[in-house]
Amino acid sequence: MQITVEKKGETARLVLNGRFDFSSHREFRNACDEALQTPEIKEIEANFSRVDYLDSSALGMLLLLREKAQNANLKVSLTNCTGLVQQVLDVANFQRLFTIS
Amino acid sequence: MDKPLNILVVDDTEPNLALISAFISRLGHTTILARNGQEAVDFYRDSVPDMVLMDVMMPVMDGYQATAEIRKLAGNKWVPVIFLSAKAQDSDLVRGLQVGGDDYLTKPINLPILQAKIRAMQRIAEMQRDIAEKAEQLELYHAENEREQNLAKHLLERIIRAHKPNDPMVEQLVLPATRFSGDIIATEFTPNNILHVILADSAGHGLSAALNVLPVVEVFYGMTKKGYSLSTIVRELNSKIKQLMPTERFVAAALAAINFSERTIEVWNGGMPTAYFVDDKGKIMREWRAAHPPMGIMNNVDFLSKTETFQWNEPGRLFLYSDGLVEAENDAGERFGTDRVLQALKEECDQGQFWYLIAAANQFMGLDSATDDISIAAIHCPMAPVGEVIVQPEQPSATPVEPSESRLALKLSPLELKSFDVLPWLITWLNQLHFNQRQCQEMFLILSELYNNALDHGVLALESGLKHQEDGFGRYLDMREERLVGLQHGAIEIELERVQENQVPCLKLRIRDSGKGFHADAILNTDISSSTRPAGRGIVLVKTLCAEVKYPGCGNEVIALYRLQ
Repeated sequence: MQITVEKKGETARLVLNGRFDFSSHREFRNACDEALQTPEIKEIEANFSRVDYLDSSALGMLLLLREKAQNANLKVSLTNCTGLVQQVLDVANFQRLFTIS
Repeated sequence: MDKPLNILVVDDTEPNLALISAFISRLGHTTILARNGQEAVDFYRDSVPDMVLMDVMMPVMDGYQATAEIRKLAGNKWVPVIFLSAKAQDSDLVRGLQVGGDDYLTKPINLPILQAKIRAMQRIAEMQRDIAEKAEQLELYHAENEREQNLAKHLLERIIRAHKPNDPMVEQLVLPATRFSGDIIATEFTPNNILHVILADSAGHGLSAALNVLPVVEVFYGMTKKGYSLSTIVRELNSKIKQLMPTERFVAAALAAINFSERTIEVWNGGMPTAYFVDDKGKIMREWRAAHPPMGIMNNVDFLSKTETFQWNEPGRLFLYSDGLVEAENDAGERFGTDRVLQALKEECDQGQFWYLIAAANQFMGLDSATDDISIAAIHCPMAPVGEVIVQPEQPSATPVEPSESRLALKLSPLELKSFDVLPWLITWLNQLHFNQRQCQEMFLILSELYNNALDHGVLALESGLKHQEDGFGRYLDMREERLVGLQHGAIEIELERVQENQVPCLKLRIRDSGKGFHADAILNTDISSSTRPAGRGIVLVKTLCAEVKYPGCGNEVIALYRLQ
């Protein structure tokens, strides 16, 4: 998976591209750290418009991001979730944990 | 300076031997001298040199044969052999290499080239030795790993009771993608004959996923046997997993409590695919979507243990399965998908849809090649109650019951009535009094029947007739929940006491509720064999287990006497 980090004002947008599974572990962590370590960032948006698959380890990585963001008082949202991505997030009831659109 | 080598020099001409050995000694190496091929083989066997310089034409045994013999002796160990020969044809060189030589120098020997060749061979030999050592380590590691994995598998299977015989009502299949399964199915009856089932899928697969399900099965079996409700068990599982596992690990699970005499199924679904109740004709009567996140994510305050209950009026099966089934792909990269699951469940077939579903999945993608763990469970739900306590004539107990005067009394106010799982707590106390397993089970049954009556029909004033009307069960449950949540006043008092009645040790149980009471006589005089499924069946069952059951007042107080001998 490829991830680009777009920082604009107080928001960091992580644009994810491809299959989000265990092999994306390092890239995802690096992208999260980049966003978390930028002092002016108040909100992280993970954009799923170009993600065609995510597995349970991807859900685990999102939980880690949520924990780190909570510790730093940042908001996390998951955006452009459609198709299979939306189904997986629905079954896991992640709307109870994240703002999802 | 290179590491000194021990070099076997083979030549039948003394001046050649002298020249080469003197030169090699100057390079800092030691030599062994052999004068024909046979000597070379013998010396090799005795002293295993690091390298061989081999003449070709010699008496007794020539250099080709000697090299072939040395190769045989060396086995897997690589010893460089350099031919030194006056024979300079290409065909000689080829033959030398074919029998196992590594290089070929023609005589007269150019000493600087010989030195360079020795050094090159030494480098290769060292590399070879390195690789051989690593290969050996790897092999040891592999064997060790194999042993440890076998032990881990053995232990895990014991802990999750993989070999526990199936309950006859349960059909199940777990197909691990690797040696270890992150999916488990466990079933156990509560003391009052409610079947608890869990199908859990730990994130990931392999050993680490399998480890995650260990605390799950331990808690599930332990709490079910003690009679805890599904909600209490799920809450405990969630907090246990959250406490034990790192943030990114969680366990998706569907749990069900099946009450065969009430014909009800209570389900909690956290992050698992939709569960279905399918009747024997293949009609889907009820579905339970994932209503909660998987276990181990929410903290205790935000965790919801709310379950959803269904009463079946046609015989059928409850189906639970993991996402490995839905997401399994065939060779063309298509997923099995929910639609195919539903299609298979809708088939009416003699052996039941469980095997039909497995056959369909197997035909679609070949179940043995799955990349994720797959698990499927079907629980058969017939119309006639199963597993009900069969009342046997009292067996005289071999060991006399020790006399005791212990007494436990407690009062529950609305706060506790709403949330406290009181029965397992009472059973724990009874267990301390050293009753046998059958006695504990029967006492649990008596307690749970009488307590639930006191709560539902006493404090909450629910009409039991409602349950048995058409579609009444759902309304009954809704009303029960509504009244319980809004409960402001009311209480239940429970008293358990060891007494002697006519010199027989007994447990006396008294439950009093704040309700209006009811006319108990009609029910108490019903014969159990004639009561098909009317209101009050529970009380009749209690009566058959007890020496005496009476309602001394207006019906809001019951006293039951259970003989311990």
